[in-house]
Amino acid sequence: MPFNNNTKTDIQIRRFTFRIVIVFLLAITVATGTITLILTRKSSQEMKSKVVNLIQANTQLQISNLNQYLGRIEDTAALLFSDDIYCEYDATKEGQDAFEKIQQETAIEKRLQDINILQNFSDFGIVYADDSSLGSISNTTLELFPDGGLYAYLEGHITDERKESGWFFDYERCYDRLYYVKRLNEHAIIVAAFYSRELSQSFTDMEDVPGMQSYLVDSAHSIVYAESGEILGRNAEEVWNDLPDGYSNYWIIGDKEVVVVGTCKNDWQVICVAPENVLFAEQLGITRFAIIVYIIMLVVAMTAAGILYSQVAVKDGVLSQIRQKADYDQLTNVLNKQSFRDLVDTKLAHAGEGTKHICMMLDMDNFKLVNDTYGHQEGDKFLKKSVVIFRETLGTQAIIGRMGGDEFAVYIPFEHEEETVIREEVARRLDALLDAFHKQFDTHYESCKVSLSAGICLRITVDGIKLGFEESYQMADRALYVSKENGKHQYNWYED
Amino acid sequence: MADMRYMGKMKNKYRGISICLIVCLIFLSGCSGNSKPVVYESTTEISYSWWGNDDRHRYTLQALDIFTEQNQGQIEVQANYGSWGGYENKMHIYMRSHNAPDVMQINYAWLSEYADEENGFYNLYDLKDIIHLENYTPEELAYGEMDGKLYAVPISFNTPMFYYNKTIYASYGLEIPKTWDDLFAAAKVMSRDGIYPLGTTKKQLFLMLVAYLEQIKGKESVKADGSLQLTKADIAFMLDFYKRLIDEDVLMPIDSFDRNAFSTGKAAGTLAWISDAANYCTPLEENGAEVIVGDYLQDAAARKFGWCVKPATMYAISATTEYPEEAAKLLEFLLNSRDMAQLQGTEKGIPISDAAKAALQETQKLSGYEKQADDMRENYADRLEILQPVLENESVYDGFKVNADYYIYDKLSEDEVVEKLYEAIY
Repeated sequence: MPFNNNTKTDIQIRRFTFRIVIVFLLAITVATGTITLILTRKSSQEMKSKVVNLIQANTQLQISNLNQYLGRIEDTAALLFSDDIYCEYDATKEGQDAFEKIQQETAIEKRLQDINILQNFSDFGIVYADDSSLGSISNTTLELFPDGGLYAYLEGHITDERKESGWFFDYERCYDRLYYVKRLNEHAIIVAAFYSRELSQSFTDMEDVPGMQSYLVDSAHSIVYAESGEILGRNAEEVWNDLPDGYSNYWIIGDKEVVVVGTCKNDWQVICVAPENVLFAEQLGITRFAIIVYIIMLVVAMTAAGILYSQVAVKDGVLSQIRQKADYDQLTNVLNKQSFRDLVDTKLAHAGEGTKHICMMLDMDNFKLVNDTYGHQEGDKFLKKSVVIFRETLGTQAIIGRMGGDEFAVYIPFEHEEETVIREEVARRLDALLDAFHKQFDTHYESCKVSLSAGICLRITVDGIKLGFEESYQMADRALYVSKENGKHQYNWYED
Repeated sequence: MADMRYMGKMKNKYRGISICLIVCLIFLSGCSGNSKPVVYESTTEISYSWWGNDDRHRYTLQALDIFTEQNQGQIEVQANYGSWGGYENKMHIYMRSHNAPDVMQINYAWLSEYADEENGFYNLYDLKDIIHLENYTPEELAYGEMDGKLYAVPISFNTPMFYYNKTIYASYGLEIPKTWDDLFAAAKVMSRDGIYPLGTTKKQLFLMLVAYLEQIKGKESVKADGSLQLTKADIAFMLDFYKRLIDEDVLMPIDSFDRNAFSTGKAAGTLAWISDAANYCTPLEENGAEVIVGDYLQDAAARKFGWCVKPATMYAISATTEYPEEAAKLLEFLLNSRDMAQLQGTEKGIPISDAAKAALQETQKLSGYEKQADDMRENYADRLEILQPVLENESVYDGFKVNADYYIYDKLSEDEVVEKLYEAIY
């Protein structure tokens, strides 16, 4: 089924199809991009929130471990109060019987050994006001004050007046251990010390977060525990500026580190530091993944758009069928009156300088008799066969339209040929048409004496003046009228 | 036909779309859903227990970090440590509760005490593929053997050794003591200044009194089966000598003595293990005094040498360990590795292991007071007897000291104290 692709409907459909595809693509692009962006941001926020919550939970676990560990040490020291023999003994008391003193000190030594037997203490004992000691006070501690003053030093670190105890870390004097002191009596202080590395059991960092570090700082903000010994003893405020006071929130310092802080029972603080680029490294991966998904979705959308376009726009496609119904006469498959008018009007208006236009009106002679004699179905067949003859004789350039009933219009453009040549050519084609028409129908519908009459008009585009359809076909129609008046079965050129 | 072709084209198109969509879906599902299980590398945790002082704790903890690192973190070691005081009781708790650490530093005396038990020590010969026992002679390993099984490996040899503050002795114009009489003579001049010629701990006191007893009486204090054979007369003899040492200001009261007493010159001499040589001597040297390792004290009429030698400390693996191979790796590291040898130096005495010794020789670390003391031991190697574990039994030496105090401080008569002592040590 030959179609002409330049009807107004064609153009509208092409424009419409193009717009649909563009809108579809834009919608998909925007929708996909928006969804991807929202999902990426949402997942990123969720991930950050969860990671920080995990670090917070980890910090609180560490604090809980520490509290347990420190509490165990305090409890162990408190066991010395189980009997007055241990807690009332004063080694500094003058005039004590030497034997009684040994007996009492032996009993206290035994008690000290018993209560710390399964602990990893570097020091566990009692220091008396005269700097004498019982239990296992390490050489390191004893040598802190070789000329005396150990008791006063320890006493100075009893900071909790209510409990008469205190925790301290003195990096300058003893860098590797933490001390707990508790007053046993007026002249005696219990000392328990342990290597700060023992805290590594409490500081169980999340193994899945490489680079995560935990620190313990004392009340004076000195770093008491760190996996790396390099910053031990340094002031935490020098290491991290603007340390927060609580641990209900997290702080990102300099967009490089996530810092979570929590407080232990002895007012020391746990600081958990994790490098942001490690924590949120997966965010980059998620973004990359989202971009890949986005591209894939676009490819899918474009493919779908292409397929959709091909489905609606191709020859024999849905739009083609619609277009055919809209533009063509359903009986004869030539353009209907409106489409023919639009198309020819366009061609006349946009023709180049010197273009010659053949506008032709064709009318069946005695067609009514065919209908009356043979019925409408036979009339329809007649019209169909007529169109076939039109196509065969008028050439491939001829645009044919059904103007109504048995009246057809033909438009043939010529760009380069001379006027005389055109006239001869058109005359030759019409002769052939009339001849073929006669041969086809004369015997078949003999009683009806059917024939064909035509009126032709030749127009030329000159000086860029646009030619009009109505005017051109009125001229052809007048020529047709002449043919009819002159006895039918003939054609006439329009003459001014 | 045209319709058929058209249908064919449509089918091809749909097939293309389907394939494209399926590929995308597979890709997306592959990217979004990670169905692989998360696998964590398992870490074996074993425990190691020891006693010692600050230095030992520090280097041992450092060594354990190196060991863990060398094993790519697959073996973690839980450290249990403390001072010597009460450690014997700790060991008792470990062994009796069947809750012993996987690897233990043990005293020679504990070998016989716990080896027979069902849950005692692991036979190290079963782990000889991991522990390089070729670093020891059969004679050296024999210290840890019982019934053909190797329950412990000695680290170094130990014996009581005399260390003197030569500066003080020289200041009184005294020679370094060689006999008991020399000590008493020194006390006569030093006591005027409140200085004791000797100070020591209660265990060394007991071993010293046993040595004196054996020298004078010429008898063995321990039977062949390893049990004590001290009569009441022997105990009285030791008690008398102890009281004389105290009364004549030869020996600083045991309860007043500590390392600082030696390093500050309150005691001009001390009797201590070879493995403790640096602990006692280095601070004194740092205080500007000259330190010298003295001969084993003898009596002019001695009938026997009296002094003993033993493995300083030993390493053993608990029979209850769930990880014998990992424990053996740690034991091999502690005994024969270059890293441990370098960190440990001669702190536990001169190592017996050829590999450890070679590592120390390489870096000229085979020196110091432990080396001097060990050389002294070598000089007397043919006269020293094996220290019988029972003499190191805390209930024996501690029982002696605690009860002897009743006599030293005139709280009970000698006979009463001998009775108490006899009951205490048997």
